[in-house]
This record gives sequence, C-alpha cells and structure tokens, in this order.
Amino acid sequence: MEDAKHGSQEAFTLLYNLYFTPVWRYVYLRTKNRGEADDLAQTIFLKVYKSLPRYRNTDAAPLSYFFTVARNTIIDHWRKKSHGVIYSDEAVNHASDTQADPNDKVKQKEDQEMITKALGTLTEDQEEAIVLRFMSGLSTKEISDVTGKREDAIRQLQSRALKVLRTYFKDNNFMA
Amino acid sequence: MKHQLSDNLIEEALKKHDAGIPTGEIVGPHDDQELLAMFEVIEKIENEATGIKPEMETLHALLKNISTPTKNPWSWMKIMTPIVGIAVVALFFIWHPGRTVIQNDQTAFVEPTTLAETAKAMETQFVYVEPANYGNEADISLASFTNDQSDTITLYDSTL
Repeated sequence: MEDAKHGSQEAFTLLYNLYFTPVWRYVYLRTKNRGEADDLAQTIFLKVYKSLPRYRNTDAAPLSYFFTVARNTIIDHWRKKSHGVIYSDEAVNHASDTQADPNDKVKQKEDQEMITKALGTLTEDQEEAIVLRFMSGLSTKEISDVTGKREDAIRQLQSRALKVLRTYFKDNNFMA
Repeated sequence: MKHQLSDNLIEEALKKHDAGIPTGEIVGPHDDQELLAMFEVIEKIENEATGIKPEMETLHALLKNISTPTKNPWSWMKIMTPIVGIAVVALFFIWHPGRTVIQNDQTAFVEPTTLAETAKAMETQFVYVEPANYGNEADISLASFTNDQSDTITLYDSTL
C-alpha cells in the first residue's frame, strides 16, 4: 500500500489482483447486477487510487480501506438511484458462466440461486455481514472497521443470519 | 441432538472460526449437530462464493483510466471561462485596429491612417472619432465614414 501510495503502478496492480475479486463479489452481491458491479468496482479502485496520497497507515488492514470505499460507493450509488437493493435473477444467471461442464454449470447455477434467494431473506445488515465475512473473506475485525459496528454486534448479526439461512436451506431441502 | 442454538453459542463458535480454529475442533467437543449444520451453511456459502467472480480484463481498462485520468471539463471551464472572457474583451479594446483608448464618454480615438482597416475589422460603416488630426474640422465631435473597400475614406460631419 505504501509503494502504491508513492506512485508504483506495479504495487497498485498487485493490490488490484489481491482485492478486486472480493471487492467485486461484495458489490455484485449487494447490487445483484453484473454490469453495475463492473462499473462500481472500477469506480472503487479508481477512487482508492486517487485517494492514495491521502492514505494513512493505520491499524486497519488495507483490505478494510478498499471495502470502506466500496461500501460508501454503493451507498452513494443507491442514493443516486433512489432505491435500495434490487433483487434480480441476474446474480444467478451470470454467476456460473465460466463453468465448462454443462451439468456442473446447471448444478452450480441452482446452488447459487438458492444462496442468492436465501440471502434475500436476510435484513440488509445481516446480508452485509454474511457477504463480507463468508463471500468476501473479511475477518470480523475488518468488517467492524468497514461498517463502524462493534465486533460483538457483527457476530450477533452473523449468528442470527446463519440461523435464518439454516432454516431456509432446511425448508428447501438444500441441506440435511 | 435437535435444538435451536443460542446466539451466544454460535457467536463463540464464530469467534473461534475467526481465530482460525478448525471446524472439527470447534464442533467436536460439543458434538452438536445443529452447530455442525451451521458450519455447513458457512461452507456452502463460501463454496458458492468462489464461483462468483469478475472478468479480470477490467484491470486493463482500469489502468488505462489511471494513466489517462478522466478530467471534469466543467471544473476547467469554470476557472477559465471568466479569465478568457476578460482577456478577449481586454484584447479587443486594446488591440482592435485603429483603437488605443476608450474614453469615459465612450468616444473612440481612431488613428487617421487606420480608419479603413478599422472599418473592415469592425464591419461597420460608422465610427465615432475625436476631432483631432482631421484638418480644419476641429469641431467635429461625431463623424461617420463609409468603407468602400478602398483606401478612400469619406468623413461626414454629423452636425451637418
């Protein structure tokens, strides 16, 4: 991060390769739209790049910095569009495009559809806590840095969300 | 063992999961099927997440954007428009043919040798001139001339 701050494009490319997928995944699962996710993710990385000269090394991991920018960018995006999360099937339709085997593709599509629908049953805070933790791979401490909520509160959100998901999966025979 | 797990138990398990303790060690001591099921939920979500990924060629577009950052033309315009406007007006009054000074009464001093050029440049047939350097017509305060595309200038005394 320090090298990138001092203008190293190689360092920024490294950060991009490390963080783009988790950031994109977070944006995608929050917007449920691949096109918007592509645009917003690029906006986020441009914002980070432009803000690098002002970046200060704190206790927070660089990943938290990227996700804080991502979160604010999504909120701004929703504000501009004047609506909340749009739940569409697009997240499912494109999710497994890269799978080679058609059977695997269908199966994964079904599974992702189930996950997406299940996430849709959560509150916005619960969904964010689950997506950040288990889909983007942030630690509870990092989620706390990004959202401004206490770690205990994050775990509580995750705990309740997991219960809801467990019930949903069970009711839909997605797991035993 | 079927029961609804307490939030505390799940939160404790999540804390251990955060700390990198393997699921087997977290669930094992409790031998709790519901807790195990909770981790199955996590595993399913984590597995599906790996299939959700972007097209990485966006890096190229991003780096292209970075190397030629998009500038907001309006911010440049906001600054430059008044400057350019003032400069153009100033240059017009300072440099337009035959003109050197605008007096308070808005009467223009026009050098006699540049009247034809002045007329051409101003695309007008009427120029206000001071009564200086026009032979004996010292009392001409307002005069007009015609520009017939030649060097011949005819002055008219507006008082006639």
